[in-house]
Amino acid sequence: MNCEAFESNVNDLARGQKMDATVRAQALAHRVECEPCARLLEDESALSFKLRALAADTSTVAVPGLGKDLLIALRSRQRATTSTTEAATWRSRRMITAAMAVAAMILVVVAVTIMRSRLATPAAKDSTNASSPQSPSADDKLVKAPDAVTDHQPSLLPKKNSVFARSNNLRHKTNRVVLSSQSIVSSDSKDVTTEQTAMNVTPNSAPEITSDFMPVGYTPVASLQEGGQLVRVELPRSALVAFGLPMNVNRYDEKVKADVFFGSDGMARAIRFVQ
Amino acid sequence: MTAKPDPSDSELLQSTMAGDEEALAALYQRRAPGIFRFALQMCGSRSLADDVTQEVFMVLIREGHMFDATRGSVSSFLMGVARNHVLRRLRRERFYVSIEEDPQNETTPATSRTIENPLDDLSRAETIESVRKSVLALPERYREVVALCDLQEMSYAEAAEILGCAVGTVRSRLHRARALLTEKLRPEKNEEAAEVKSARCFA
Repeated sequence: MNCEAFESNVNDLARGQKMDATVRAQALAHRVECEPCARLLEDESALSFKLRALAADTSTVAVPGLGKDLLIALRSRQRATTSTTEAATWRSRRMITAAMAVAAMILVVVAVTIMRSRLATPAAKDSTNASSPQSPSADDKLVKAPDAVTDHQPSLLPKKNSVFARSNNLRHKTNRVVLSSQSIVSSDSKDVTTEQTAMNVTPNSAPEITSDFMPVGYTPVASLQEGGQLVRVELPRSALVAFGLPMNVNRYDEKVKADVFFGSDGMARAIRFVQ
Repeated sequence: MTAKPDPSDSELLQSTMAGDEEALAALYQRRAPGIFRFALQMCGSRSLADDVTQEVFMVLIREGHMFDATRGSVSSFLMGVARNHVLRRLRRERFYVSIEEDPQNETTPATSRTIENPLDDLSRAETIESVRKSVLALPERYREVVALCDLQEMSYAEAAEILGCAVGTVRSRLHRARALLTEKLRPEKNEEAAEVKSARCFA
């Protein structure tokens, strides 16, 4: 080992650091041979000794204890973290609630839209069926049951001419629309069969006999295409006379059932009598 | 019954971050002495070392969640923070002239002085004081290497991790620092010798 190599290793040698055994042996051997390097090692060892003394002296200095400031800082940080977490939780809960409310509102709107469209569809189909009577829908059966009786008339209010010729039409149909059991018995066999068919067509299969729908007032047919609602009511028997139907005078104090069809504007558009 | 092993620094740090005050106390008790001594050896002021130690643990409480175990140990993290704070304080107070500290704040501990051999103790104290002054007179880059490797007895790798430089850099800086220290400690001998020499001449 030469002096340059010794100088590069003299620190580790003087500080007692771990080093390669061969290098250490070579360095110690060089120290014996080279006086300046031996002096250098001696100086470095003395310096290491002094530094160790300084380190030992410093280690006796009392270390300050854990200050209250640190504990306060830790507690405040913990509170801040907790409050931040709670705020985040509360914020997320509010977000979820708001999202659920919005979803519920959307669902309600969609449901209302679907219900309205379903209500509007029968009226639209009615108008469609007016031009194509071969495809009556199931929803229209209640309304169109009398139509089956009355020569398959396609619409709720068949034709404008028939509306205006109400009294004649009703008189013509009186033979088929049976309003009492006596008339059923007195009618011919064909009519009885037709009446039974009409009864079977009603949704709840109730033994009801209905007349055709008769227009109330002079409503244009186009307004009926907007849809509406059928309402079962009870009327005095004098209402039969008002629509040109025969009334049993002996039962004048009794009421008669009727289905009133209200348009989308809430006005009564048509009526049929039920027994 | 087997004794429960001491939790590691990382576990203590995690517990501290979870708000465990005992974990903070344990971590402080374990790591504060080294930080305090490093700061004291770097700046020579006990009050400043005190402040730095508190600030280091304050940083640990505030930003402990940023500690990445893959980049080094908790000890190295704390010493790195301490180094940054010490250098910052030294640069800030460079333009101020320090007043003499009260005896309680002396860097020289009174406990090291014994009354059995007062002369030996006096010479030893003088030697330590001269070494301390020499170390404090070193440039910061050399002083921190001496403080870590020689005074804290850390390995080159640990010092390199704290200083954020290569091991070879640490070695070369330490070599240069020790050479500077040897030079700084030598003139006193030369001065003493010169005084004696002049006295002889005078005689």
